[in-house]
Amino acid sequence: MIEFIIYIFSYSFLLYAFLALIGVSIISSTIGTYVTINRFSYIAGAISHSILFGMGLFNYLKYTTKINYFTPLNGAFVSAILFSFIIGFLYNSKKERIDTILSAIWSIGMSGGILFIFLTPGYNQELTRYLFGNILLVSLNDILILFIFCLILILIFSFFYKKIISIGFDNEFAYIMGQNVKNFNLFFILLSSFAIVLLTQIVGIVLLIALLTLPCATILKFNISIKKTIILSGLLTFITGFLGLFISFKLNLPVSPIIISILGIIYILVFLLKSSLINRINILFKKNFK
Amino acid sequence: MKKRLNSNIVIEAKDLTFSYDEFSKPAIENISFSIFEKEFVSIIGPNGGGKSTLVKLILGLLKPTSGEILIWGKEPESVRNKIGYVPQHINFDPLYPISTLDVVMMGRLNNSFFHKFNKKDLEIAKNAIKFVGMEGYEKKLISNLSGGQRQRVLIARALAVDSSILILDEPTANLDKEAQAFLYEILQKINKEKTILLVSHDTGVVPSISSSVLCLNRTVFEYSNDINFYNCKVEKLEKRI
Repeated sequence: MIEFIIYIFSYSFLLYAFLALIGVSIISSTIGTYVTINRFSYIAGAISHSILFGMGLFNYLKYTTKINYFTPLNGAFVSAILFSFIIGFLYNSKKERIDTILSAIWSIGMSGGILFIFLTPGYNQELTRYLFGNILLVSLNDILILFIFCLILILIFSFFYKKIISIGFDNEFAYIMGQNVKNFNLFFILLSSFAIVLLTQIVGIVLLIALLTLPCATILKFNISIKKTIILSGLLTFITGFLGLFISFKLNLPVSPIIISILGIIYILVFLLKSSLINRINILFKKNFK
Repeated sequence: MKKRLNSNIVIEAKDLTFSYDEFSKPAIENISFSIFEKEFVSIIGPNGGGKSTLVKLILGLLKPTSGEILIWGKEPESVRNKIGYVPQHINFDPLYPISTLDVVMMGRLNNSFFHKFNKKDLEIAKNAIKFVGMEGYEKKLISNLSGGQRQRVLIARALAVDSSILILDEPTANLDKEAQAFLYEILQKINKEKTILLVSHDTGVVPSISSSVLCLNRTVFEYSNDINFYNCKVEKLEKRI
């Protein structure tokens, strides 16, 4: 382990991965807790896949118009904003179920993206880089953007903490008390989408979905306050991420699946410990051996 | 028989009509009533009789199709953040990890942008918790409380608003007899200082503890401040439709 820590400070790619991990932990704890307690963590999958629409479209426009503004990354942000507004308006109108909206966005966005990729000649290597990010390939620029975003997140979550938990618990009462619930929801859906676009490039789709659900879900099993959940799930993400980097470095295995496996095992263990399953097994054993 | 203590009108409805869309039958049709200061009014009536709709109209969550409803002589939208409201607890996510104190502090929310609670807010919230007999549970999560305790926390939240009106939407649903009795006891204590509006299915106990009964089945069938008035049975109303 000490050897690995020395390596972190001697290889820039490991150092960048380590720094990115700090930022990723902050996003995973704040946004992850927000989407999990409000029961739409499914947004992680929906946004990260549907932004393929903007990426494909902008890639196609770049090829046809030759304007440099049309980069896949810009496309990802533009489509994330568009889809956030659609999700936010439908969610606020209460005329459709949130998981139906997210499934629709997921499939429509992704299929649109596939069509544009098909229409663009040549192999779109750049797109796959954006969609399947790798924490070992982050640049200094990515880390800077990530840290600025994390700072904004920390400020927002500490300023609006009481409003976040109040509106999440009972939006009708919050509305009666004069809170602008609709704009608040829309703003946080937008914030979540930005976080998801950033994470897509830094850690990739699969790890991002795991990071926005598993750490928070594990900590929530202990029935503690939301503030503690945010802090502890951030710590859990950081520790498992660090362990994942270490194991993948030692055994020469891909990082993301290792981190997800560790998180998954911890989640299942906590779930079993906290549920009555173990109690039931105990009772069963006692009955059989009496 | 309790008498109207004075003639200060708190809530007033004039020819109030509301329909959810123009094609369906109105949920509430042409109702008029006045509720006076420190009255204990129970609203009873069959399912779909418009009880919850009336509460939403009073809170300004819905706008009347015709007629008007006034609270302290003003439009509900402008004063609704000064009304203590206890919603049906069926609306809540049972897994939401929020503590008792945080729930009660919701009653102290205001609409300033960078809102921070001060010491006075905390004091009011703690007094409200003490009033409903939940001290010692401040740090406990709502999800770990029993149904009756949870309902008391919601009443404490409404009390923390520090309003002279308290509106409760079926607070005793899903509670056992003991918890119900305890809740009614708290409400009678609150009634010494505040006007109470209680939506209920309970036609047995509620009319006896309230000073007036409002029977609602699309339109007001009976409104009486005579506690001996027991003609207002839901079963009877249903037959009249």
